[in-house]
Amino acid sequence: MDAIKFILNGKEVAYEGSAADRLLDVLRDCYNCKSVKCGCKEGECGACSVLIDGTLINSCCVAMGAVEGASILTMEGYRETARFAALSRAFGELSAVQCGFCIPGMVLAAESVLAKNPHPSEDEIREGLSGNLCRCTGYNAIVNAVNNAAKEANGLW
Amino acid sequence: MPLRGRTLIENTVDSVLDSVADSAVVVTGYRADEVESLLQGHYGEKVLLVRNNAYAATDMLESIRTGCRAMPACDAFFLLPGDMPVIREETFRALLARRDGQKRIIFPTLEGYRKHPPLIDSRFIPEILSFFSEGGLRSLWRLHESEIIEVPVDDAGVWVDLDTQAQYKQCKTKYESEQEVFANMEKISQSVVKKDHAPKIEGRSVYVGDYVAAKDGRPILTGKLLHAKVARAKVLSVEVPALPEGYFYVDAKDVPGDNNVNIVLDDTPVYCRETVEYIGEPIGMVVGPDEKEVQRILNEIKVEYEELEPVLDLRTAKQAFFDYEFGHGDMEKAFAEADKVYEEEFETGYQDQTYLETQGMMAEPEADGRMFVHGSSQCAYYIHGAVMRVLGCGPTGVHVLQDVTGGGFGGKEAFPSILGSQVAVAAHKAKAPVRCVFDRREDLEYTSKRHPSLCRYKMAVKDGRVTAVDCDVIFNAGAYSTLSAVVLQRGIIAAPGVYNIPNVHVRGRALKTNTTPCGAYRGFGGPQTFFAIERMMDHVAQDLGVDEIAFKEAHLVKQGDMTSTQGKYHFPVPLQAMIDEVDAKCDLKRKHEEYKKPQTGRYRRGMGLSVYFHGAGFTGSGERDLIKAVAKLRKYADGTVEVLASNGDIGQGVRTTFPKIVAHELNLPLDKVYYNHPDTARVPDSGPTVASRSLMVVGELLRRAAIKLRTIWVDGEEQEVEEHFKEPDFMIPFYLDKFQGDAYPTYAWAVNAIEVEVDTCTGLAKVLNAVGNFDVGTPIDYNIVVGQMEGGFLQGIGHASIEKMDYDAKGRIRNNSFSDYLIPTTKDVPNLTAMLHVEKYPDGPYGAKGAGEVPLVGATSAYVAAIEQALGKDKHQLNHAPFTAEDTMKELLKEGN
Repeated sequence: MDAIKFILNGKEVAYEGSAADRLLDVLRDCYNCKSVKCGCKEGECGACSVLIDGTLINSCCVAMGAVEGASILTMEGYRETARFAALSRAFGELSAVQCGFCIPGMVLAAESVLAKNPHPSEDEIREGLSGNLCRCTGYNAIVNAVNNAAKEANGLW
Repeated sequence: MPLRGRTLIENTVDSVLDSVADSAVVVTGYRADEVESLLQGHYGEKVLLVRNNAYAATDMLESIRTGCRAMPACDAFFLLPGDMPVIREETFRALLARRDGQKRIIFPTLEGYRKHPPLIDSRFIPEILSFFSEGGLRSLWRLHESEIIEVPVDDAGVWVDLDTQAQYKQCKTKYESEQEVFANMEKISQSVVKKDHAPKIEGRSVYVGDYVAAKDGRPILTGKLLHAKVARAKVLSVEVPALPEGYFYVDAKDVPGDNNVNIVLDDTPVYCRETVEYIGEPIGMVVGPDEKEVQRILNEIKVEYEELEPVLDLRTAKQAFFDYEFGHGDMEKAFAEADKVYEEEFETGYQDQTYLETQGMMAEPEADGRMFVHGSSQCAYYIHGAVMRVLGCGPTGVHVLQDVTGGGFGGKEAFPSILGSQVAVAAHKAKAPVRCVFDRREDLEYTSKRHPSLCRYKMAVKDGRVTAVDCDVIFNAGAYSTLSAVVLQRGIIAAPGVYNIPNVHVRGRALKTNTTPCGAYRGFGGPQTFFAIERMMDHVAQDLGVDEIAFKEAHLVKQGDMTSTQGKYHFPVPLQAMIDEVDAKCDLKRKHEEYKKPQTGRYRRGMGLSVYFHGAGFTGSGERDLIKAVAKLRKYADGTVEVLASNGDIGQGVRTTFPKIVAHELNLPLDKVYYNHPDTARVPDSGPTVASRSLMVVGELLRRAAIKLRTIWVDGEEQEVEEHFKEPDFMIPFYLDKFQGDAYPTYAWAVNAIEVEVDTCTGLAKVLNAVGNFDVGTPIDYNIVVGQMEGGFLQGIGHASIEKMDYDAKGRIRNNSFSDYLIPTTKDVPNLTAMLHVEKYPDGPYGAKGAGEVPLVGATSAYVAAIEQALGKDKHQLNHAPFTAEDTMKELLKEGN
């Protein structure tokens, strides 16, 4: 059986295991991407969100066979970018991170919102983050942080 | 008179220029020079300034004419008085959208009243200039009734004109963000970037599931629990298949010490005894290197049961784990003399904590023979005590570390003692590190949650006042007692609410059923009884024909009054002021009045209010007699200071707020003071991370320790200071056997207003507005405290509306995934506001009180009150929570809709 080749955080990798394996498990166990959290394994909570070819996807619902040739971005890669720095600053200023478990996925969801729409309205931000559950914050701080990042980091998105 | 950091007139001008208009004509008069120079400097060309010099002698129409004369060429203009600073952009846009090319005057209306600012076609200008008549412009418009268009708007800003100081103050409360109000707050309240911000947002924080190996490098074995499949049975046999090399089956026979987990009592077994008492009870654990293989073995284990009749109905349950009773006054007399006696029954359901990180614990046998237990948890020393007993070793035989924890909300108060004991036994048997992380289904079905409740209240009323209340409170404890004793205590102490009722009797029971044991959840018994008393007060007021809000206000306790346990409210009770603030923020009273009128359309609205407290810190004498908290500071030679305490950061921010307090007292930069996750081998027992006590109690110990360290500080030396808890002098000693005395030193107070719109076709309710006003004393970090309030408030609204969980006829929890158990998303309550009212507590650090729990407690009653009002109180008396869309449909069906 051929290895499954894909790009992970900018580097080409080849996965030798089964095409039926779950992307979430493979990212965590084989590539040590521990920022990808398991909150439900049913595609409901968004804690395992990653960007696959720029699209926000719950990695618990993706079989390895489906990622052949794809480019996958997790927080391990995203945290090296200027866009991440802008979001991190905005989240930090509003103390939008509490327990932190949903946050890597939430930040990738924010990236996905801003990549499509650099100047979103509050409703559009809420819509874009609605697949990512957070139990701590009540969401206001997170939504406001994404809004601030969009306003302050002009031109990044 | 500033508003939002600008003058009123700037607010007004901004409101038009920022939204729709190209330029503004401002007519000045009083102190015209000052106003003109301000506006000229700020807006330049965009504002045209004209003066009505005779402002004092003429009416507003003359000023309007002055403005019209100066009007540059345009199609239409808004007429806006300078003291209406908070009109929303949507209102201007809504008016513009109705232009149809005809000569029109387009008025915004609110509740049928025509308000400013009308959008006036400029073809009216000549008429305005030549119109001289009594009654101002209004009489001109009367001549043009057919040219007027009315546009209903949802903008309370059209009510706001600031003619008086009082109106100005009210406007400030309503339209300034809290951040602006707190712009000049005390230094300790000013927000900092949280200490754990960077590792968490970068995804570098290591939660228990993220370890790739044990501390000594050994691989970690995976443990999975064998859960009982029936609610009550004798376990006749457990047939385990042949185990491959390196795999183990662990059960009660492997427990080296006592097979009982120490919580409040010790009735919870580590692994089941001869019987299982609920679906999900752990029978044993399979342990091994490969997770899939562990799962395969688990699937092949055969358990033979002799089934027994389970107790599942709370109404017929007989066995009480705890049965308390207290009261004061003369109940018999009060009921005998009452004008009217009311009785009602209230029910609330389960609520799951639903921390995003599921339960997970890990145990590592160390080379020196100690057992190292760590994981997602709130109370390192609770686990320490439990594991010691289970392993049968002394205090030095075990040490417990709190890992980075993905939320707790009470769910990780006692449960990690159970799971920690289970993995410790497994690691002891396997002589290898073992980790057990629950999947979401296990977590939802088998871990502790909020107690469902059944409260029966009886209330006596004489001369329009409540003279007595008799509360019969029943909590569904589940199969083992875990924390039910203390949850029940807090619940029943709050049973009469925040009202001054002279005669009180309370009975509270935690009954055993063959269901998942319930336990701690933010609010800890309070949400159940406050739901009952708040709804009871609403319903009694309705029957008496008085306004619910006014009825509650008339009964509020005040400073110096007696508590339900014959203690005293020692400090000011700011509830009336807090209601007024909420009213100013969201038009509580006006809307509540408005929505009382019969509603018949598809969409109907309601506004509900709840008023309540949360006793700050442990109930009763626990802090003094049981916890006896100790906290330390260790200063190193390099001048850095480490906080040594056992309170875990579970997202609430103590890794930041503890060092903030210490740095503040020592006048050090915040990066010189740090607080790591506690390991019982290194830190003293400053008590558990529960009861909204960490900051108030331990924070105060740290403040005092820092003062002590400051006085003995010697550069370049390692120094350590220690502080012990002392009960404040003013406390009336609490006796649990009689439920007498001060149950709490002080209280966090709260007022919630929730406005809903019910769609009578679908039953869905939209929360239009949720305003919570919380007095938790001085915020030690504004953002952190507001984050707690917003998060807790939303959890409360979830409990009130969509978080429905129950069990089937076999005793199995039916809602075991996020598709069945819904928690709020970003979209559910976009208009949620948390306000802070500060009543300082002298024995908390800088005036801080307990904060974590209070935001959750009152949402259920406010929400259900709002739904009831929307559906019409005359036809619908709602007395259970959660109140889901299905419940609304059932109510509407009763109406025959």
